[in-house]
Amino acid sequence: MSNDEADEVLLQAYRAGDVRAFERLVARHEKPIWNFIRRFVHDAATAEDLLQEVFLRVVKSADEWRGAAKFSTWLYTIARNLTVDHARRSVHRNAASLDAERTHGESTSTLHDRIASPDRRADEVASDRETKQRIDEAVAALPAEQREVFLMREVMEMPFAEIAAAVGASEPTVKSRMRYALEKLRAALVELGGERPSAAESSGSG
Amino acid sequence: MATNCENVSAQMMELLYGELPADARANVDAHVAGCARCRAELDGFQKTRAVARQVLDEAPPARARLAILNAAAAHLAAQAQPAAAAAAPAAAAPTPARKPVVEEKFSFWDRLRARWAFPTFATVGAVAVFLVANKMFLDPEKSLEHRPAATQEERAAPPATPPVPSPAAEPAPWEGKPPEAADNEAKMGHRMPPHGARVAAKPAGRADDDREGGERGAKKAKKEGRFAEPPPAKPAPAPAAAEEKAYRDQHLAKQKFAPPPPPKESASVPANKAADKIADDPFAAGAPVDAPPSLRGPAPSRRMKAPSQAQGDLDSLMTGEGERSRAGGGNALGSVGGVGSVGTTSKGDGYGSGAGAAPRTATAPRPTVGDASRAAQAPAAAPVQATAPPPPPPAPVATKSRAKRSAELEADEGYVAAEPGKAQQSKDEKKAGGKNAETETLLQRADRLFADGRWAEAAAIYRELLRRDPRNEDAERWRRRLVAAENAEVEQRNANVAAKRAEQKRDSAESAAPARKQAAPKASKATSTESQ
Repeated sequence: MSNDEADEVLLQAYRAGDVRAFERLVARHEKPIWNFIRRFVHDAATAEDLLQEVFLRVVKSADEWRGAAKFSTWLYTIARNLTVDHARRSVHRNAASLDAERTHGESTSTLHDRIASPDRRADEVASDRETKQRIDEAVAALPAEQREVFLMREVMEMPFAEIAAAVGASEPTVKSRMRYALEKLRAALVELGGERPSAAESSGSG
Repeated sequence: MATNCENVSAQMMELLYGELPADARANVDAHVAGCARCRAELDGFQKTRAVARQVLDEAPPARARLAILNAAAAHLAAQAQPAAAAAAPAAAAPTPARKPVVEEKFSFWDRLRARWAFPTFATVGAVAVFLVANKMFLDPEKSLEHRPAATQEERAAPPATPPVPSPAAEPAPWEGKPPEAADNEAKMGHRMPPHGARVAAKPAGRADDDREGGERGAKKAKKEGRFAEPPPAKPAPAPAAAEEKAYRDQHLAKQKFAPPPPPKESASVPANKAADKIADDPFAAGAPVDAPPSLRGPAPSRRMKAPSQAQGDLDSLMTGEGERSRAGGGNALGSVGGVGSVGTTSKGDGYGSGAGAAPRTATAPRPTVGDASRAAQAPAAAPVQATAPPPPPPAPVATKSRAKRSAELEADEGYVAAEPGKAQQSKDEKKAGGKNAETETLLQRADRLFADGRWAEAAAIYRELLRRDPRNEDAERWRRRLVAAENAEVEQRNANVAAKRAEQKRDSAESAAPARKQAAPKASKATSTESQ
């Protein structure tokens, strides 16, 4: 993503008929978009459909893009809008709530229980798989507006100003949401890694 | 330090994601380096970020990318297809990477053209139709405005101005009047209300071209012994016609037919105006069939409206429709076709063509109808009229002054006025011309109906006659009759409508009066109760 200009060049090449240029664009951006979608859409098949939909939208409206914004910003805004709209429409939300039973995982305790549990041993540091799972859960537990800001900032690497424009909020608001999201995730990691929550809390408040 | 810690905490997100300006970044870095708490906070966030980024690095399924790329390629192909088809032979492009660029551009413009071509043409067409309609509908008003001026011009113009004697204007001898007197009478005739000149809108130029035919007609008439003496070559408009005109003028005044009552129904105005227009049109009295279109100039388009409208009016009258049916575009077009095909073909319903070809005239002939004594005064009119040859190309006509034309038109009108009693004569003429008996009976009937004032029926028969035998030497008269009948009918209808409206007005006024009377006591009652 360091060469955003190349995005524009690649898109021009695609509009000129070079499908391989578009392939490079897809290869460059599909993962952030996929990860963004996956944190809003639990069903993998639906997430796949959405991913295709995002790029199809780009294909169809490639002529309309005139370079007013960075291509990546434009692309991610499309992805964000499609995903959030879908998530709002879907009746069944797959996002785990703090009190929801975990559907996949060996433990039957709730996320809240595990985060709050004071008696977890330090040597129970999660494996990569468990870390991933818990981060997933922690991200899924974020309020949607924090989650989208977190993902856009962390996964899509959008500047705060662009995120603010994409979600229609002020930049301070976006930063505030980002901070809340990070703190919650850090708390989850502290719990997972056996870090002392008090230290994290003190550092967070200071 | 506390403020610094707060500042660092407030700027933590920018610090974390590298969005701090360089100078601010240096201050914050300096503080964090010496502040364990801030460093711990920053470390905690950075660790969280690192873990999260590891977790949030899931690769999408490969089939998704395949599907995306397939769709992208299909889209490209769909876009390039029209352009490729357009530039198919020249598609032997050397560089495959360059070729699609051209195709893409082609396809873009192609699509643009395809998208806008139809709307553009449709808009242009609509504007054109509007302009044509505008001209057709609004021009008659102009002609009405100009009409009085033209009449004055007529008065000023000496009746002898036509450079070539008009045989059609010669049948004076039996009157035994000197040309001067005839001229005077002709002038009197010119003082008629303008609408009178609408009758028999014979093109002025016709006089020139009637020479041969007129002489022929004169010879014929002489053979039949109807002329006391051979008609002298006189350039003045027919004195007899002028006399007829004067007579009819009086008659009109008596019967209050002329000037026609100002049309109370607004819809009737265009019809009359259109009639004016037609009368002014040198070709309106029967466009020469063989005239090249270039000679006709814009005449057909000007004529379009009136005949069609007349047709609509007449039809609505004949079918007993209460409301005037305004001539639509199709009707107008049909009439134009009729105009163009005068004397050659007659298409449509048997009415349209004749009506389209015939000039619209006003009520002038109406008062003369049934006036047998008056008709008898002009015995020679019909023969001359009947022998008039088909109108010649109208090229010189257009240059003639309106006054001259009007003078000749009025002369023609005189003949028209003389017609009713002369049905037998014209019949003889036609027999001499080898016309069949059916036409004769039809013509007789039409003349009788015309004399009886049964305009619609008469007009229908004249139309039929014109349709059957448009080249008949008497066709000119039929046309005039047809138009006169149509106009008379329209006027009659206008008068009826006006009368009806007046009646309605009276009725409504009467009904409103009692209502007011009823309301008044109520109001007084209410005020009395209030006062109590």
